[in-house]
Amino acid sequence: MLTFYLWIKSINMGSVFYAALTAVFYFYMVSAWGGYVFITNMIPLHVFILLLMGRFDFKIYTSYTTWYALGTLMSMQIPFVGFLPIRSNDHMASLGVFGLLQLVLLVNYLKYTLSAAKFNKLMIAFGVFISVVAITGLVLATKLGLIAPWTGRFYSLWDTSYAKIHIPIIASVSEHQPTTWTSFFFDLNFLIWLFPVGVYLCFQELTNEAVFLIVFAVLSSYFAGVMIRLMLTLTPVVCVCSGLALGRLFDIYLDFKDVLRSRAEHGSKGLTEVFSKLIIVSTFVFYLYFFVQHCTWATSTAYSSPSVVLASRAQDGSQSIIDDYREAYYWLRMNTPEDSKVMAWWDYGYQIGGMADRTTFVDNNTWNNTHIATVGKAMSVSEEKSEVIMRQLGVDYVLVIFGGLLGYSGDDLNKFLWMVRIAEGIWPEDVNEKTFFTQRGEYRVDDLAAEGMKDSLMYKMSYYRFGDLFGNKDPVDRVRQQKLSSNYAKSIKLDVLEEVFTSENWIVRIYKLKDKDNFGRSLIDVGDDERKHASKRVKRMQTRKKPELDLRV
Amino acid sequence: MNFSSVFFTIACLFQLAFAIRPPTDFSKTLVIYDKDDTDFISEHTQFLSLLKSRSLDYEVKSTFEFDNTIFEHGQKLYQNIIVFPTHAKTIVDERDLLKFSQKGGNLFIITDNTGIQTDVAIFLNQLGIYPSPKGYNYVDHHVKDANVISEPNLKYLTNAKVDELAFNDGSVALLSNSELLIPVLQASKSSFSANIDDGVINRETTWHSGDQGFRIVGFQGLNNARLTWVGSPAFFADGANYSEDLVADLVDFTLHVKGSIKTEFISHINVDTNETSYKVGDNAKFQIGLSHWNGEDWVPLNTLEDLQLEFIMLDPYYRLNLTLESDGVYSTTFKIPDQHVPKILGDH
Repeated sequence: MLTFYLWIKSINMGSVFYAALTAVFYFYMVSAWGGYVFITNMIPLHVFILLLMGRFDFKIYTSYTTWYALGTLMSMQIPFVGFLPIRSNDHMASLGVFGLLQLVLLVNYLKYTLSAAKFNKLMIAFGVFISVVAITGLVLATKLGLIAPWTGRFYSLWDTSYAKIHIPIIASVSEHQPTTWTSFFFDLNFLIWLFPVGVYLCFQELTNEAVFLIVFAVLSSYFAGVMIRLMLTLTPVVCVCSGLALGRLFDIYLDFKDVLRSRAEHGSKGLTEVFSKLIIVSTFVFYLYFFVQHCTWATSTAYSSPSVVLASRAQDGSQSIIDDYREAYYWLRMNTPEDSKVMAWWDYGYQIGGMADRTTFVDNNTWNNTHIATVGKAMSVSEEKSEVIMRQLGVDYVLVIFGGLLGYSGDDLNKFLWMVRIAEGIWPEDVNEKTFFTQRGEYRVDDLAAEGMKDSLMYKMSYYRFGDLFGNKDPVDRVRQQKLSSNYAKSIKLDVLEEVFTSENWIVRIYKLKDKDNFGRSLIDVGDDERKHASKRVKRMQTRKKPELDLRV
Repeated sequence: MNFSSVFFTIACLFQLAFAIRPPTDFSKTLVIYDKDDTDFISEHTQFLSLLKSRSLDYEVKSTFEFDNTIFEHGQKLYQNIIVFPTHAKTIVDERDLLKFSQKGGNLFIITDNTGIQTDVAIFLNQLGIYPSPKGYNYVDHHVKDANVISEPNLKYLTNAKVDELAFNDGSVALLSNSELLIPVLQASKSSFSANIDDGVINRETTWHSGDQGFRIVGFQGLNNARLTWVGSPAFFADGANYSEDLVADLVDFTLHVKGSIKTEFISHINVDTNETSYKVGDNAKFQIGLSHWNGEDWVPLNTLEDLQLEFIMLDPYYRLNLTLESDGVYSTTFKIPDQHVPKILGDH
C-alpha cells in the first residue's frame, strides 16, 4: 500500500526521491511476499495506460525509470528472485514498458526536430521495425529457454479451469479456489457495494491517481474473483474506493450550511431536508459501527484461531478444545526414533517437521510435484503396491487425518481425490480417478464404495478398526454422512501397516510400516493365513496340494 | 545433503576350506530321528563325528525321547535343530518352528518320499519350499538308476566334487521365487515326479517336471537364520554312500561355520573438503570394511569382486562397483549428483 502511495506521490511530483522510496518499499514487498509480481505488473500497466491517454510527461518518465532500475536491482538481491526479473515472462511487462518509455522519449525528441512529413515516414518504419524486433526477440528467447515460460499459477489466473486440467497440485490448494460471493460479503461487508461507487467517482475525476485506482480496482477484482487468496490484493483498493465514496457522501449530507441559510429565509420548510439528511447520515454511521463490529467478529472467529487446535461447542454451549493434532505430534516426537521418516499428505508437512521434529517426504513447499505424486500414489493404490512404494521411499510411519468420528471435514478422505488426481497426472496407468467413484458417480465410503476406494491404502487406514468403536452397531461417518454396516467395517484389514497411535477423537491416526517378513513371505499373505484360523488338518491337506507357482528363474 | 541412513544388507555365501566352529558362543544342537529307526546312531557315526568336530554340543533324540519343547521361558534351548525323516504325528508345532527361526535358530531338514512330517511341511511351505508329498515318485527315464545322481551340478553352498550322489527315496521340491532361497541342486531336465497311485500322468498328477524341481535348497532369512533342506537322507548314512565333503559344506553353511560376513565399518567423506557434508558436484568417497569368519576369528575379507554401491533417489542413480583398497576395505569415489539422496545401499 505504501509502495502505491509513494508511487502516486512520485508521479505527481516527478521526484527521484519518492521514486527511490517506492523502490525501497517494493524491495520490501519482494522480500516478504511471493505475490510481488502483482506490483511489478501494476505499475507498468498504469504507466502504459497513462501513455495511451496521452498523459506522458517527464514526471512519469523520471519516476518510472528510477523505480524500475532501482527496484529491479534491489529485488535481484533476493536469492529466490535472482535473475527472474530479466528471465521470466511474468516480469516482461515492466521491462517492456521501460523500453517503451525510452522509445517514446526518442520519438518526442524527433517530433521536435524533424518536419511533420519526414517524421510520419520515420515513425511508420521505426514502429514496424521495433515491434518486429521485440516480438521475435521475445519468442526466440522463450524458445531458447532464456526466458522462463509463464508459470502455472499465472495460467490459472487467466483460465480458471487451466489448473484443474494441467496441474492438480495448484488447484488442490483451497486458497487457489475461485472466490464465492458469500466470502466477498463476509470479508468486505458493506464496503462491497460502496466500492463501485468509489470507482465511479474515480472515473469522473480521471486524474493520474484516479487512473491508477481504476487500474488497481479492475485488476484486483478480477484476481480476487479467480483465487480466494488474492482477496488480499482487493482489500486495499476496496478500502480506498469506499473511503472515497463515503467521504463524498458525508461531504454532501453533513453539510448543513445550506439548510441553516435556507431556514433563516424560509422557516420550517428546511426541516424535512434536515431530517432526511440526518436519516442518511445516521444510517451510514450505523453501517460504519456495524462494520467495525463485523470486522472484529470476523477476525476473532475466522482468522485468529490456529488450525492445529480446533474449538467446538459442546451441547451445553461450553467451549471444548480438540487438541488431537498436538497430541499426535507430541506422541511422534516422544515415541519414534529421531531419524524416522513420516509419510503424510503435504498439508501436514510443516506441522510434522516443526511440531514433531520428524522428517517428512513432502511438505507445504510444493515445488517437487513428482514427489507429492509419489506419496499420492502410495495412498491411493492397493496395500500391495503401496508397500513397494513405501519401501522404496524408506517410510517408517504413515500419518492420516480422519474426521469421520468427530465430523471434522478437513480430513484426508475429503482431500483424497486430489491425491488421486495428482498421482494420476504422473502415473495415469496406475491410478485412475474413475475407479474411486461408484458406477453412479457417487463418492461413497460405505459398503457400496467403489472397488478402487475400498482397496486404497488411505481408505483402509481411515476406517481400520472403525467398526470396533461402535460395538455391534453400524458405524457412521459423520463427515460424509454415510453408514457402514458393522460387519463390513470390521472386515477392513490392514496387513502391511500396524496401528501405533490414534488420537483421542480419532482425528490423527499413525501407522508404522511393518518390517519385511523374515522368511520372505508377503505380509498380506501372512495376514490372510492368520485370519483363516485353519485347523492343522486343513493345513496338512494344503501341504499335499501342488502350489500355484510362477516359473522359478 | 546428509547420508543419514546407510543401510547395509549382505546376503552372501562363501566357501572356506578350514572351518572349526560357528561365531556364536551358544551352539547347542539337537538331532531328531524317527523312533522306528532304532539303528540311527550306529548308522550315522560319521555324521555325528562331523558335528563333534565343529565343537558343537549336541543331543541326539528319537521322536520318542523328544518332548516337543524347544523353548524354555521364551528362550530357545538349542541354536540348531537337525531333523531326519520322520513319520511322527507331531514333533514341534510349525508355529514354534517359525518362532525358532525368527529368533535366529538354524534348521537342517532332511525329508524323503515316504511321507513328510506335517509340521515340517507346513513350515517349509511358509518359506517357499514345497517338497513332494507322500506317493510322488521321482522318475527319470534317461538315467539307469533314479536313486543315484551322477556328477551332480552342485551350486553356491559347496565346492565339493562328488562323482555319484546317493539319493535313495529322494523327494523333490518346488520353489517359490523368494530371493532368500538358494537352490543348491536342481533336478535333471529329463525328470518328473508323478503320483504312483494315479495311472495317468498329467498336469494334476505330477509334482514337478524338468529342472523346476529342486533336491537340495539353502535358505537364509533376513535375520540371518539359516536353513537347509535335503530331499534324501541317503548320503548322510555311514558307508559308501556317505558324501563327506558335501555333508560338511551343508552343515557348515547351516550352522554358520562358514559364509558369515560382517560389516566392520562404513564411512563416507567429501574428498574436496574432508568433511562429511556435501553439496551438488562434490566428490564423495565411500568406504566399507568387511570381515568374515574363518572358523576361529573374524578376518578381513579380500576376495569380493562383485560388491556394489547404490546411490538412490527412488531408483538407483548410481550403481558402482566397489574395489578393494586395502585389507578388507572396499571403496569408490563418485560425484554427488544434482538430486536429493535419501539413502545409500551396498549390495552384494
